[in-house]
Amino acid sequence: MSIIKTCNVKYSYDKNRSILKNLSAEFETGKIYAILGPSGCGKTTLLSLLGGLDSPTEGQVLFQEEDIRQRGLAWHRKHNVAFIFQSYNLIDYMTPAENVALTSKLPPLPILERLGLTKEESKRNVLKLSGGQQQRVAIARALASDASVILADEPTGNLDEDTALEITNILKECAHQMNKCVIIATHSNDLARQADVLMKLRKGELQILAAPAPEN
Amino acid sequence: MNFVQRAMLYISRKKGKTASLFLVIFVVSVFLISCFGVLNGSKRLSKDIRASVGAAFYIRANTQVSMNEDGQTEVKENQIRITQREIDQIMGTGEIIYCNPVNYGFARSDAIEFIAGKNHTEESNMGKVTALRFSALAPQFIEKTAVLAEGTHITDADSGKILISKQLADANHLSVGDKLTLLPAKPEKAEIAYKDDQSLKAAYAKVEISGIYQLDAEKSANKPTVSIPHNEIYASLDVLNALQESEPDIYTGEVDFFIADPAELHSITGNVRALQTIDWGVHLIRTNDFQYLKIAERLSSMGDLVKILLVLVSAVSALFLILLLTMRMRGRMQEAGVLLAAGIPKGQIAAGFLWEALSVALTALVLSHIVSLGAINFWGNSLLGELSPNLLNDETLRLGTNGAPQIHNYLKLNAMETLLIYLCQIIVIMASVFVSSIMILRLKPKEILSKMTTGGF
Repeated sequence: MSIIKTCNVKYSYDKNRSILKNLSAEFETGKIYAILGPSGCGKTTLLSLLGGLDSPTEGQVLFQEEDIRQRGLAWHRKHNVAFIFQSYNLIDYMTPAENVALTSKLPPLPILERLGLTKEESKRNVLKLSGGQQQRVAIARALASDASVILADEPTGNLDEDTALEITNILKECAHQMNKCVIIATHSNDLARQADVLMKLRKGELQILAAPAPEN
Repeated sequence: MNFVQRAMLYISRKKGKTASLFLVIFVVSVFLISCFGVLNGSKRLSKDIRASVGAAFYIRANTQVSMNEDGQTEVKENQIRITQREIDQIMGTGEIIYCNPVNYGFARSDAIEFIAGKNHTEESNMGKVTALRFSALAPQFIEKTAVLAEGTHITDADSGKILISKQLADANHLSVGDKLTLLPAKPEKAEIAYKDDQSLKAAYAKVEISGIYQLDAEKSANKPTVSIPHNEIYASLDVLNALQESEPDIYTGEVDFFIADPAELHSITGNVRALQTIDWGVHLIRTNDFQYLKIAERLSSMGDLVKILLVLVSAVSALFLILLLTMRMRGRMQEAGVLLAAGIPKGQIAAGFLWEALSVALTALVLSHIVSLGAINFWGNSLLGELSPNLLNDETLRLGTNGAPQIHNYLKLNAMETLLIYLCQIIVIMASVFVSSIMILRLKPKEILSKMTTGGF
C-alpha cells in the first residue's frame, strides 16, 4: 500500500507553461525511488508538491489516503516528510547534534553515531565538517524527525564518488532497514542504479521504468 | 528545539553579529537619551531663563493732563489706593508668584546722621523710606544697582525691619542687628526740609537693621539730603504704617506683581484690566518684559533647532536599525528555508528573530542607561553647569540673588521619560524585525527550496 501518492496532479507557473501534466504516482515505504530527468523538467517541483512546500494547480497529493491540505502543509512537513538537500542546508551556528535536535526530541548522538560521526564531531561546528559528514548530518536530521517519507533533492550532487556511494548506502539503509519511503531527484545514473524503482520525468509526465539490477 | 533556544544559540555563537547589533542599539540609545536630555534641558533652561529675566507689571497712579480755563495745561497726579482684597483678586487672575506692595514716606532718627546733601541743616536730616513686602524685589536690587552686602532682605514674614546703605551704616557705626527708633518726617515742598509737624510728633517705630546694602551710585552733593540715594531706608510695611499712623493693608505707593512665565504677561494683565473693582481712571498698569522680548526669539529658535535635530536623529537611527536588521535577515534566509521545510510555522521563525533582537536590545538599553547617565551628567556640567539663572524664590528673596542656588544640571531625564524613550526604541526594533521578516514571511516554501537548490542563498 502506498504511503504517499499524487492523483492527477497538474502544475504550471503560467497558462502557457505546464510543468506537470495529470501526474499520478504512488510511493511505498521500504523502497528507494529515483526520479531522473533533464534540468527544468519538474523534478524539484514534484518533490516540493510531495513535501507540501507548494500546492498543485490541479489534483491532489495524498498521504495515507488523506489530502495533505486537510491538516495543513506545515503539519505535513513537520510530521510526514523530511528533506535532504544537495547543499546540505545545515544551520551554520549549530553543532551537528543541535542541527539534528532542531526537528526532533530524540537524543541526536545515537543517530549521528549510527551515521558514522564521532561524539567529538557531533559537537563541532557543522562548517568544520567535510561535505560527506555534513550530508550525513542532514540525513540524520531527516531520520530524527521520524517522518515516513524522505525527499532528497540531488543528495550526492556535491560529493565525490566514494562519499556519494556511502551516502547512497545510507539512504538504502533508510529505506530497507528503517522502512522509510525515500524519493530521490537526481541526475546521477550511479545513484539511480541503486534505486528500487526508477522513474523518468519528461515533458510533465512520469514514466515508471523497471528497477535496474544492481552492479556486482 | 523551540525558538527561544534557537535564539539563545544564535546570540551565543554568532558573537560578531550579536556584538554589532548590540553596539548599534547601544549607541543609538545613548544618542537618543542624550538628545532628549538636551531637549529637556533646553526647555527647562528656557523656562528658567524666562523666569530669571522675569516679567512684571506694576499698578501705579495715573497722571491726568487737562486744560484749565486759561488754556493752560494742568497735570494732575493721582494717588493709588489698592487694598489687600484687590490684591487678592489680582493674584487670582493668573500665575503670579509674588506681589510687592510699596508705600513711600520719610523718616528721621536720633541715632542716624544722614549723609549731607545740598543746603543740609539739622532740620533736613532725614531720609526717604520705601516700605515694602520684599526688599529684594525693589527695582534697585533687581537691576543690581544695589546689592545686599550683609544680613538678609526684608520679606513678608518680617516686621520692624529695615535695610540701610553701607555708607550710612559706616557713617553712623551701625551694623546688622542694631536697634533704633525712627521718627516721622515730612519734607517741605520747595526746601526739602524737615517740617516739625505736631500731628506726627507722637508717632515712632522701633526697628532693627536686618541688612546693609551696597549702592552702585556715587554720592552727589548737588542733591538735597532727602534725595541722596545712600540715605534711602528700605523698611517692612508696618514701619511706615507706624510712622504715618496709617491703616494697614491699604497701599498708596505702587503695587508690583511678578509672574512666573513672561510669555503669560499679556494674558494676565488682560485679566487684571477686566477687574471692575479697580478704578482704571486713577490706576495704570505698566508691564515690564523688555528683557524677555530680547531673548524670546532666540529661545524659541534654540528649542526649534533642538527639536529638528532630535527628529533627524530619531529618523536616522530608526532607518539605520531597520537597514541593519533587514541585512541581518537576508543572511538568515537559508535558515528560514530549512526551518520552513521542517514544518516550523512562519510565526515561530519570526518570533525567534524577534526574541534574538529583543534580548540584545534589552541588554544594550540597560547598559546604555548607565552610560547615558554619566554622559548626560558630563555634558550637563560642561555645557550648562555654570548657569545660574536668578530664579525668584523664597531663598533669593531672603538672601538676594548673590545667594541663589546654582542650577547644576539641566540635562536630566526623569524615569518616565527614559522609559518612554526605551519603549519607543523597542517598538522601532520590533517594527524593524517585523518589516525585515516580511521578506521571509511573504516567500512560499517552494521558492525557498528552489533558491536553496540553485544556490540562491
